[in-house]
Amino acid sequence: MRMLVSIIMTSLGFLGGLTLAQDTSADEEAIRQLDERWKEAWSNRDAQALAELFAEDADGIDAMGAAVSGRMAIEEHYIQSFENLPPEAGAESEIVSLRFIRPTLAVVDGTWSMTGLPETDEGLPTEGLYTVFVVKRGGQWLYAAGRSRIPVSPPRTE
Amino acid sequence: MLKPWCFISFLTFAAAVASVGCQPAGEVMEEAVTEESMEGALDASVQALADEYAAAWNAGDAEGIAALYTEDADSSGPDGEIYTGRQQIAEHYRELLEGPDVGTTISIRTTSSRELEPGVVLVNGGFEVTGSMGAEGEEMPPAKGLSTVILVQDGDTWRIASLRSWIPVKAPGTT
Repeated sequence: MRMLVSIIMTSLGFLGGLTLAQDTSADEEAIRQLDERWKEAWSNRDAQALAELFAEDADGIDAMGAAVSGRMAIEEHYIQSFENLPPEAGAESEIVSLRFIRPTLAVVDGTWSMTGLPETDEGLPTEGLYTVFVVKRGGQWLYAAGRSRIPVSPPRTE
Repeated sequence: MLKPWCFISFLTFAAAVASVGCQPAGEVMEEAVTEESMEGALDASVQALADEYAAAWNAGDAEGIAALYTEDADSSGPDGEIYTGRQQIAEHYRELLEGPDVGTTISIRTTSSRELEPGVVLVNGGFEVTGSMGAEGEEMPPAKGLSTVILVQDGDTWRIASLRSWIPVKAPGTT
């Protein structure tokens, strides 16, 4: 009897663990999908579809320190960006790490690069790092904040 | 008018970012401070945490900084490396504070904060590190940077769950 209880308890524990792991992986998959949807919308130059990936109160700050706040401003940002964007410009990104801070909040780090931009002699960086904080609201994962960074190696020069 | 550095502003993956007029970083940073001044006053305890961080940095106390993080936190500074867990974070700060940042002074100002969910806030801020020495012992100009931090409530205090900071690159053609 004791053994049976033990087996049942172990099984329940195992199942419990399995369920937890599955839940996390489903969320992780949904978060990765968010980046895929971003890339698709970006290549379609679809500012509205991009904005829909962001939480209402989302904000973004780029590698130069330029900031935009709120879903509407983000959509406007993309509209303006696409007006200046050569049709051949492309964006690539790759997730490097993903960590859940809480079940409904995760931090995602990755690399980005851009292709097809006009040659300039001004040394504009075309690759860097990004960090997004994503939140699960109403069952849906959304970008809560996006940050873009160009790494500098110490000692600092600026 | 198409300016080359307009491109960088949307580079930001996922990001957002204001190309609104494609201002150079300096101007935009100032705007970011005022535009983003979210509803309501910043919680004093959030600024208190920033002050604790600065006090520990200025004392060269890597362990003291790491203690402000959660046990499983992650942190990435201007070099872009990601450090995970309080122990790794402490080691990294020790390397900085005994290496390139030895004897430096940091000042931190929080510019905006908002609640992401109960007990979790996202805080934007700026920092300035002064007193760095160059390779030949010459004094370096202050390093000015930005940071975004996720804080989680731990009883009466806040702990850093995730930190990203960076030195903004200059828009080409600006000084």
